[in-house]
Amino acid sequence: MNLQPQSQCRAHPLISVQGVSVVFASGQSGSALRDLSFDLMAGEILGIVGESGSGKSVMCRAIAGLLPPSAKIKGQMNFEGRPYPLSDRRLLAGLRGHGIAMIFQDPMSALDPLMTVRRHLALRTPGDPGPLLTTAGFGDPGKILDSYPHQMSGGQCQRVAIACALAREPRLLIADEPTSALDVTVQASILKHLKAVAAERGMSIIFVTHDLAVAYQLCNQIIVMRNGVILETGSAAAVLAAPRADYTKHLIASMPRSRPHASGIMPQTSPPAGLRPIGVPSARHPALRLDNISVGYKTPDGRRFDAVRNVSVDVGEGEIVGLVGESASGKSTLAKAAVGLVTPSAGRISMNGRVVDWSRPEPSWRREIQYIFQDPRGALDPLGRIVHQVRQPLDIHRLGDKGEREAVARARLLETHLDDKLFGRKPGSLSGGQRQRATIARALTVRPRVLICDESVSALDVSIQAKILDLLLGLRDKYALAILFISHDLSVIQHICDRVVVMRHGKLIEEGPTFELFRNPTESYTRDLIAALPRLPDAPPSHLSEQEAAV
Amino acid sequence: MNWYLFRLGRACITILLLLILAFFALAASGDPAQILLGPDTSQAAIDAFREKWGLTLPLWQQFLIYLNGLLHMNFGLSYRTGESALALVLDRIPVTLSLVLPTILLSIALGVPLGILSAMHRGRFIDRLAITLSVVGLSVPSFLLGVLAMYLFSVKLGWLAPSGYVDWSSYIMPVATLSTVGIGTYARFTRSAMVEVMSRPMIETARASGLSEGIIHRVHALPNALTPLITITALEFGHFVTYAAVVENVFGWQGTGSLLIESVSARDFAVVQAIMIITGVTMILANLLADLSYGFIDPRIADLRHRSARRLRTVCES
Repeated sequence: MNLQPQSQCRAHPLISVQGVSVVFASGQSGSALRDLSFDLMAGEILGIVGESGSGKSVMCRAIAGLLPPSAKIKGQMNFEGRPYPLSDRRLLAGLRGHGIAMIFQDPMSALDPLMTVRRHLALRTPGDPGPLLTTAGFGDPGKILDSYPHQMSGGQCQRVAIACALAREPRLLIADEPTSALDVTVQASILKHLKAVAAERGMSIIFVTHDLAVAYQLCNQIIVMRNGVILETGSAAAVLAAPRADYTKHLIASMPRSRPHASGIMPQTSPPAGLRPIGVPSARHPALRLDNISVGYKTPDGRRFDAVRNVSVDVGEGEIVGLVGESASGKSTLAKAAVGLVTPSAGRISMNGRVVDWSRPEPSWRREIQYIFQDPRGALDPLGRIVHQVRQPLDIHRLGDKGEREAVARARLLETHLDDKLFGRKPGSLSGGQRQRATIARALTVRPRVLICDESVSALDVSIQAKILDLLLGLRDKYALAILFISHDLSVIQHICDRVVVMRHGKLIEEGPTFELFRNPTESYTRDLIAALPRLPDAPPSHLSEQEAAV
Repeated sequence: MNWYLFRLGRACITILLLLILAFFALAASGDPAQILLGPDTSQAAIDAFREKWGLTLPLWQQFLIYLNGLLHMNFGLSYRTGESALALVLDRIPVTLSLVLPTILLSIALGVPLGILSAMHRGRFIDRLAITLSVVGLSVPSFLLGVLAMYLFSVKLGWLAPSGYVDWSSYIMPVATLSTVGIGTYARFTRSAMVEVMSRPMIETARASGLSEGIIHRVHALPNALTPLITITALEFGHFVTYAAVVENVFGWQGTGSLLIESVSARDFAVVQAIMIITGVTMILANLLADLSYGFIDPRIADLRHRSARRLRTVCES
């Protein structure tokens, strides 16, 4: 398989991987990688996309010699013209640093908590750390040099990790989902700097991501992987604009994006009245109304920190309102205040026209509003069977007799399209998507009027994400649910929400119907957010796909 | 709440609880007059003894009198000798310390490297051997080991003096006996801490940026794994004092441990309480010291305390 781009004239690729297979000795049946080959030229950026379990991380670790001893590796690579058998981890370890360096997803745990940035870099290079940090994207490296990891944000930690990886001037940087845990504007800045370093140093990058739009924005070449094999390769524009493999098409179709005229999925601006069960325009009938909510915290040094300042949001019956903002913008705090998980210092909450005071809660209020968290694994009891956990809210509220409760739990699970063979299982044997269906079913058992989804699809693969989003849309139509949908992922928001509220530093910045807000953001912050959003090509650029077809 | 004040307050409460517990438990355990004077003593003699030591008063009054004495550094007098309890105990402390301190040093010096070695060869023969040895060291009771050692080296081989202090070689058997527990504890603890740290993402990041295994072990894994050792040492200090009581008795050393055992069997309240208080205060100080030293080692904790201290200053100034 050859990935040589048309623009490159050099004869030898920087790295040429041939026939890599990986089998894990313990547990997993089958092979993690099967007979994988690709080439990468110096200075090029190769994107590897695929969902969880596709083997993309295994492949990267195999090249870097970082697979655990339990992995049986076959195959070899040529790196700068020299052959390396991939089973020889010691030989590959000798390449690390100056030949190949790698960065990982979770920036907060990538650095040693007991060491300053200066020491991290001094371990790797005797040179001046300043320019290195500038390359990694720090405007003022002096400020950060003597900081410890816990004093920095996730984006700063990832930049330091990048500086560490770049310290010995590697020829190839492998980046395994390095921006997936970061805010969209931080991600954009890091991608920009990576691209600049690659161009400046003639360094190649292998960039692993589940986000096709990020791959499209950054990479020259793309490999689509699934179940340990390469399904499709080609130039980024060709693969993503004119995919050949069905799986790639499916992945691209699953990417959330604005579809004002799409069929089958709720239109963004004015939904047909028939879809609203009561036919009442949402604006007139707010199911959840947050009035001038403020939430204050005390910091460890005793100062007051306002996580939310004077924010008002309405969510109408049958309406999905998106709450957007970066980390620490106060969006989750606002949502938690709505369900009484934190106590607002000021403001008024009302549900269906009644004022709700969570410091003196009535049991019926709790039934009317339900919360779905990001991590379904953490939200489910690992020891309880799914159907029992879904039944639990009914047990707590003492609704119906035992048989009825069981029947309702089953009905809700079926509604979330969970296979009935899984009802008796425990969460551990379910996939992330299946678990999230179970938590949604559990939230729905008590027939809430309001649903709060706090980053509920952020941890899921795109194709599963798409299914869950469609499920939420369907449930909204069926029950006229009011949904407050929190996400840092603007493309998801754009896909699912009728209206969007943008928050920053605890304040409401902008609000409006989704389609208009994305087309005409008035606030500069919203404009920045939208500009930072990586995008897929809208239509297949025909000349590129023809070129690619010739290869 | 300010961290330092909080810790100080907690230490005071702990000591008070210790005092109450020691005082009432001992009072409930028997009448010192009868035990000390023997079963054949006349009632008049017993009454006189009680009168002399204030044992006729209600218990709570005795306790308050005792507390008042403590505030003036008066730990009371020994029923047996009439000497100051504090002086008796202080007299014995150097002997115990001369056993416990070398034991701690030896335990760390041998246990930590054993744990590191074990972690680096995880799952292999060296690891299994080290784990087995640690478990044996942890589980064999000190008195048994002490008696066995004495039998072998003093009785059979005649190499070492069986008991008491003769010269430096007298330290070998007691310290070695005490250290088997310590080495086992430190080895197991160091091993699991190293294994845990080596599985953290930061180790993979360090590898991926080209650091050698040697540097990773030395610079990243060890410091991160060893910081909790400070807490373990503070806790172990208490254990060693307890084990020392047994070992002192076996080898006939005149330390606090043997004094404690003598005094408990004689219901010599003042001495027992003095030992308990001094041991308790030492434990609390050791833990306090451990917590304080974290502030120097872990920048995250230093930051937290720094902030709380700054807050205290602003409160005081306003």
